[in-house]
Amino acid sequence: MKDITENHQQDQALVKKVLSGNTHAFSLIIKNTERLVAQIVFKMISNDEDKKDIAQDVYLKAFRNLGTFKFQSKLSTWIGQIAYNTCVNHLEKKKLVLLDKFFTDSDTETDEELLEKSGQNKNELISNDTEELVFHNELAQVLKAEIDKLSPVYKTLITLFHHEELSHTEIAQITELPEGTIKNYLFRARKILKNNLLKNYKKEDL
Amino acid sequence: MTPRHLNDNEIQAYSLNTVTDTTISKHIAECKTCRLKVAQYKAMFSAMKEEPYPAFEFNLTNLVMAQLPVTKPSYSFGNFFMYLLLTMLVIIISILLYPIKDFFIANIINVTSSLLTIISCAALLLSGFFYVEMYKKFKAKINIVHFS
Repeated sequence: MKDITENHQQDQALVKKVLSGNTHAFSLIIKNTERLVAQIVFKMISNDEDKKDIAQDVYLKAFRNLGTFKFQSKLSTWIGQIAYNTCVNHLEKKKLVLLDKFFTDSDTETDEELLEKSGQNKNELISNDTEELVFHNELAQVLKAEIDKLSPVYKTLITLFHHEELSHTEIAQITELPEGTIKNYLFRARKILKNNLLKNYKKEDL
Repeated sequence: MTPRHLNDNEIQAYSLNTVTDTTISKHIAECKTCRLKVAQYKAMFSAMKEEPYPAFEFNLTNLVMAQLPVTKPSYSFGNFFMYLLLTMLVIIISILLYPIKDFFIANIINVTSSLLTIISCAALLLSGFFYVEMYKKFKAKINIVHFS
């Protein structure tokens, strides 16, 4: 709690300095929020040149609109919101898919059905110790690839929740989606990820 | 009767430690299938946290700062001039009241002239110290702006 208050005070002091003409203070704002912006931009945008342009655009917008920031959220959350909206506008302009609107078959299949399709039987799901160990060891290797296959919105939500460890409320502020929708999308994205991991995991790879 | 397995939402919620319903915890303790699913989700969540943070390949700070306008810092003259104005007001009022000081002393305050002089000097001295203090603070702020 004390950290939150201190961060809030630091943010206020920085914003006040920038608004009073101390442009150098804005570089501290960039350094403090760059990681979150990178998370969002990397997950939403695939092209490297676009990432560079968008990242700069985010901070230029933040600088121009800093006077309108009323501290109703954390400064990092506000800048994250600018990053997210900038990415969404870019994707919409390029008519790229933001979110998969329809479930694929793998989203609704049960684990038993998935394993049956991949040639494993139901009992093997229950003979779990070895499978669990290998699942964990190989998981990191395939997880990144599977996350990259998700739609930009799912990727971003998964990253913000599990990697940046933001709350549903903060993610809702960044994405301007209702909290209920965030929770729903997260549940869906996790299920897709797990099902894809199960589908891609082959016993021959042991 | 086949026991009902937990649905995926319940499994996920349990894996995230957000479940308060003890029946869910009890079922997981007794059901190998659901326990495996929990372990898979937990392993996935753990692997997600271990992913390295992405980083831009360029110096974003320098790129952005180079594009920001170089503005002159706006000094806060407000407080400085306010206190200067107050001091001038005190001096002007004193000058205006001086011709009628005898009437003032005789009819309103029963004090000797020398005591009145002492009080006036003390008031002026305090105002002076106050003014100097404000000016020092103002100079300190200006120095910070120059340094940055």
